[in-house]
Amino acid sequence: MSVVHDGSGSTRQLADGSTEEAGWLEVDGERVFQVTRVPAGEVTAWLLLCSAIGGEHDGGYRRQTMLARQLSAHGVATRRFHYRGTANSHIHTNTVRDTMIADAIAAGRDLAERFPDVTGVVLGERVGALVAAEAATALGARDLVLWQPVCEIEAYRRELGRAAKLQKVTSGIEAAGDAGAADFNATYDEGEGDLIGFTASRALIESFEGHPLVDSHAGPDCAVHLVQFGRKRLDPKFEKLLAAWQQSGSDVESQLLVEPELWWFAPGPWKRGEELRPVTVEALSVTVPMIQRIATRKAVTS
Amino acid sequence: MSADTVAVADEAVRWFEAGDETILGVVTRPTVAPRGVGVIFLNGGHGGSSSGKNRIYTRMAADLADRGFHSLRLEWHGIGDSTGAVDEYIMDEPFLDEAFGAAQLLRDEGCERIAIFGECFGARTAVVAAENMPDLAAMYLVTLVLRDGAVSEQNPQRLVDDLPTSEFVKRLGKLRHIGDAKRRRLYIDAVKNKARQLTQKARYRREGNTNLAPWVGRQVVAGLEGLGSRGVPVHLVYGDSYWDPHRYDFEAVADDLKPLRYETTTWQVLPEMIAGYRTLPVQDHLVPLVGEWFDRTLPAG
Repeated sequence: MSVVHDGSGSTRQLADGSTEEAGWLEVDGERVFQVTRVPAGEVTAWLLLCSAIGGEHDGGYRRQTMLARQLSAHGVATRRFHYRGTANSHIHTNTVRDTMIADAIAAGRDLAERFPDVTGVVLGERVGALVAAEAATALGARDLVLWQPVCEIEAYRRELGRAAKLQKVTSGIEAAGDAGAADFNATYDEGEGDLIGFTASRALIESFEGHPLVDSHAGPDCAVHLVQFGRKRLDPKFEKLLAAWQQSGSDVESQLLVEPELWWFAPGPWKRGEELRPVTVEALSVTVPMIQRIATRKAVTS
Repeated sequence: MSADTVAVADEAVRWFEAGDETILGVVTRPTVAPRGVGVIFLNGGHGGSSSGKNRIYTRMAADLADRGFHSLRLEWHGIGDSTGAVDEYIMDEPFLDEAFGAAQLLRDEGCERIAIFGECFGARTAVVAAENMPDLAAMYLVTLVLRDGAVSEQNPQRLVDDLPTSEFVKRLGKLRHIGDAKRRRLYIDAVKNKARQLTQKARYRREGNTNLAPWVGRQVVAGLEGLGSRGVPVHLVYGDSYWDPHRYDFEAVADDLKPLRYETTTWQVLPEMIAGYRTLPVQDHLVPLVGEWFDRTLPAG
């Protein structure tokens, strides 16, 4: 393996000839951290991953790295990025829906320009689905993959409230139940909800109000692949979403995972390595062939 | 990198080798006159990316850059974008290759001295790595775990501590539900821990540490002793939460832990649960506190 540093970025070349590039893109004069995996041989598709936020982002981070590395073996170039105002991206940005979508479009456009002759796929996880659907439209992506998408931000806000009831139990602090929720609500009302040490920004959540996922249909040419975590039957809200988009002309499919994800409470690696976690193993065993199929189908069509 | 990837003056991503693995690190450069000191952030077992939980290390790095420090935040092997896999963090098996690789990267950036901020498992790694870092200037350690073994073994160890050997043997003799695999593993763990403690007790006695609890890891004692004798400033921080067992461990042995007698080794207990940065107020408190400590301890010029 060799490493080349280029300004602020760094590229490592692996024995199989594939590369992994890490660095920053510039969006509106601010930095967006990104990692791009480029396969060794012919690139058959590109994939942009729009992650979740807060604890869900941290909990799912390694899974996304693993997905990118597995897809590389199937000719798919993958880019992951951190929204401005989060993780390793620009520190002073007030993250809201518009900045998140702008980051996704910039990251995707750059990737699409590098691989102009192949099909584009956008994947959104949780709140990232609300971003991914908009980005897919702007980028002309032909496939949209959704991991347990948030369909309406109001429901997500209620989920945060429920998580807040559990937070003090899991974090070992004295109060739990309603006390935990009351603490969260008080800090959220002031602008920054404190959910087990992750910021749940009120401005960010409210910026998604009035923008349900169903309104972000990426057009009839964009097929939709929804992956639901941890339930045996498709959730009615997902049924409704897929039915609406199917009626608008999109091909839709759903995949149900048996293993549940704890999202905000996803365990750290001190329990078990992410590589061994059943939900991650199952999610990748479904998603990798799904994207591989997309890449193969589109390559044959073109 | 593609044409649109811009050079950012004050931060750079760097892959670096550590043993058989490739580690992702982010270097932050000072925004004022450099002090020639690079601070490494060594994380606990939280997963996530190099930015740390809720980007606490990104914030600390920005604060330190404004004070003239370089810094490096990294992802342990098996975490984030680094290669490899990790099953469980075992306290007496620190990730030294990563610490040494990170230090070298900062030296390559022009840093003449190295400092470390370590949390939990990262603090253990820092204390052990210190011996092989001649240019080490200071350490800020949050929730240094004193016991050996995996995180999951810490509470079974505490159960063993409380039982005198005679009572331990008596209870073990009954071997209830020995046919059950889980129970059998528990018995094996208990015996292993007891044996380790008895060996350690004898060793500490031979070395004149007659009162030191046998569950205190030898690496911790030797590491802190080495730092103290070299005059390297070390600051230990624990949280005062009822639920933080590491603070109770520390307070139980502080009087008998000889390296704490060095003037350069200090400690304090902060409000709330510090381990794992579990609330926003803890993070908001810690970021400037760490910057101010390095600022005072390693003054410019």
